[in-house]
Amino acid sequence: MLSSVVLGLVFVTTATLIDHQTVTAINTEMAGLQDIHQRGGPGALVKALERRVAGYQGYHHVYLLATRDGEPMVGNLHHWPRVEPDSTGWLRFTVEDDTDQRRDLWPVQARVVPLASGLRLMVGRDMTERSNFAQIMEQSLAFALAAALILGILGGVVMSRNLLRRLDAVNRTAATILAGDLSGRVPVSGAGDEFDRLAANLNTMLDRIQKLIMAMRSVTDNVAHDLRSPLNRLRSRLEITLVGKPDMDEYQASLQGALEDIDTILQTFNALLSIARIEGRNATETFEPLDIAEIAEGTVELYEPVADERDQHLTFDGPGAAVAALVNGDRHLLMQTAANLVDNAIKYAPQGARIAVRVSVTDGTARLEVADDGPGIPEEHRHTVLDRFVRLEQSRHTSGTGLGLSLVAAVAELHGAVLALEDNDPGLRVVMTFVRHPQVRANA
Amino acid sequence: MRLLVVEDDAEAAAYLVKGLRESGYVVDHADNGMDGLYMATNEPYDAVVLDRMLPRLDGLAVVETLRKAGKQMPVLILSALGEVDARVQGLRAGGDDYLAKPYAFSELLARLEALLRRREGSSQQTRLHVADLDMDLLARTVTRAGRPIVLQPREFRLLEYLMRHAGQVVTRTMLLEHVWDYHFDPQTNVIDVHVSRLRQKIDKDFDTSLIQTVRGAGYRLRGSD
Repeated sequence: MLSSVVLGLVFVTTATLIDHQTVTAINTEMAGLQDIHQRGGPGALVKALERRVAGYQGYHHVYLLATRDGEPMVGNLHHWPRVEPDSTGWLRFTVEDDTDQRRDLWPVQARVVPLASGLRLMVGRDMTERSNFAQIMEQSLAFALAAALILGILGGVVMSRNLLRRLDAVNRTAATILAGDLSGRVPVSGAGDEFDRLAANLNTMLDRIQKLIMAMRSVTDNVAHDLRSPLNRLRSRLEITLVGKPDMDEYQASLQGALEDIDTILQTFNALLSIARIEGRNATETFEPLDIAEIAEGTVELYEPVADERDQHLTFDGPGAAVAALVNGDRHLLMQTAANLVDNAIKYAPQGARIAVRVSVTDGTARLEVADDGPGIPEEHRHTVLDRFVRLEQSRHTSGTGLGLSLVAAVAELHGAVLALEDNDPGLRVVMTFVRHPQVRANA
Repeated sequence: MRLLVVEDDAEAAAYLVKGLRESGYVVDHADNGMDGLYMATNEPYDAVVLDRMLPRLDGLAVVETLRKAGKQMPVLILSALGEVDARVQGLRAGGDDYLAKPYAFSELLARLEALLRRREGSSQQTRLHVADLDMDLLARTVTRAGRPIVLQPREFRLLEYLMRHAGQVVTRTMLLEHVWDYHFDPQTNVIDVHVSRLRQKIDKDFDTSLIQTVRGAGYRLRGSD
């Protein structure tokens, strides 16, 4: 396409140049002849013209001196052209025959000047070359255009096929996912173009969706698992009571048991709902600056007698009275978090274990740590315990919903805190590192 | 004692009314907010048990209107919305207590009783007296039959709450809320352990134990009767 434009420009410029040169040449020649006529009269002009006509072998120049009626006197044209000149004396015409019959048709550009003697002088130039040039240019242009068109169409076809092929890849991935296979991903060509960026974004989105669906699936599975057994127990209990011939006491015992079953189910249910609410919550509106040390100390105080009953040693170690471990957060959720962590430690650490709750402030960043010297969590399980309902097989017999740590994880996320399960060697250490609070005084 | 139950779920209302009647209350029932408001404004009820989500007039609007009309009877709001925020809304609207569904009937009964009795005791008291137990709220001291009992600050507050509700059933949740300001269920028997510690201190060396366990409900400090 560009080549056609260039060709067109070359053509126009060249043609203008040729036309300009033609005009100049004719004007110069005309001026010379007029001069001869003026000095020597018609006789000298005729002689000069005869000399010129004889001297030129080709027909680059056209001369014709004619009478007022157009009767040719001297020149290399046989007839005065039938075309009338314009007001400035210029005219273009085609010579249909010539003296030596060499060519049939040739274009001429000429100027006619009426002379003082009443004669008419025409000086012109053969424009064959110019018209040839124009013809070549036209052909080239046509060719270039055709080539550009063909290349364009071909390129378009190739490109759109490429485009379609890549769009098709996206479509196929979508179809795979629609068919139920969530692992499908859009291929990335590695070209780093818009398509790759689209593919990368789509894949990130799909990863997230897959994660959410997996999470939901595991919740559903676990709800089914953890609620089915108590529901089933409840059902059997009631059914068996009805089948037998129970007396009042047996009825009472059965109903009491049923109530306990229902409480367990409700507890699991409420825990699930709380986590869902925390996860779906728009944070900050209930946030206020809180001293996490004060909250942790309150929790230790609440649980200390419970630990004591199990011969466990529960201690609290704060950052000192001079330092406030300020955290921007929700009081109730943080209280519940601290309670869950301590509750877990008491529940899973054996009799006589040491459980240490520590709050420290480093560079304005508050840290809550609950460490025990119990059996700990094997490294490979540490990540999964944060998921809902995960209870290691060894702990299945202990009471609880198994949702304690998942709730802690959800609260940590809501507060932008980093939750880490570390090896206390021996035992487990859960560390919650909060985001820096602007009002926190530097650690003394 | 005359109670009004405003609850639109017919079955839930039937159980509630039956349970409350069996506990010795005279109970009326309204199944929508408008009727509930009308009855509460025109009849001398001692307390209202109000569902939060009601047809025709929302529960919160009922409490607000009642309070504007100058009705000061205790209102216990029941709601399926269990979040702390929802609770705060309910109390702000003029409710006296808030109980999330599903609740244990014993819990409702205990809270209702606490609301009905609350107006009798004055908060200006400086001394509490139950049976042979004496508490000086200013000096922070406790004696039983004249013998001093040393209590930790939290034990003191626990005993104070029990004494203020002497003769009433006090549930574990009520203790968690009022003594520890915990609005969630800690899953472990933390309260039982605290109460048993307190019991060790005040009942151990005496023939009658004052702190009684109410099966399936909570605790009760034996009243002066």
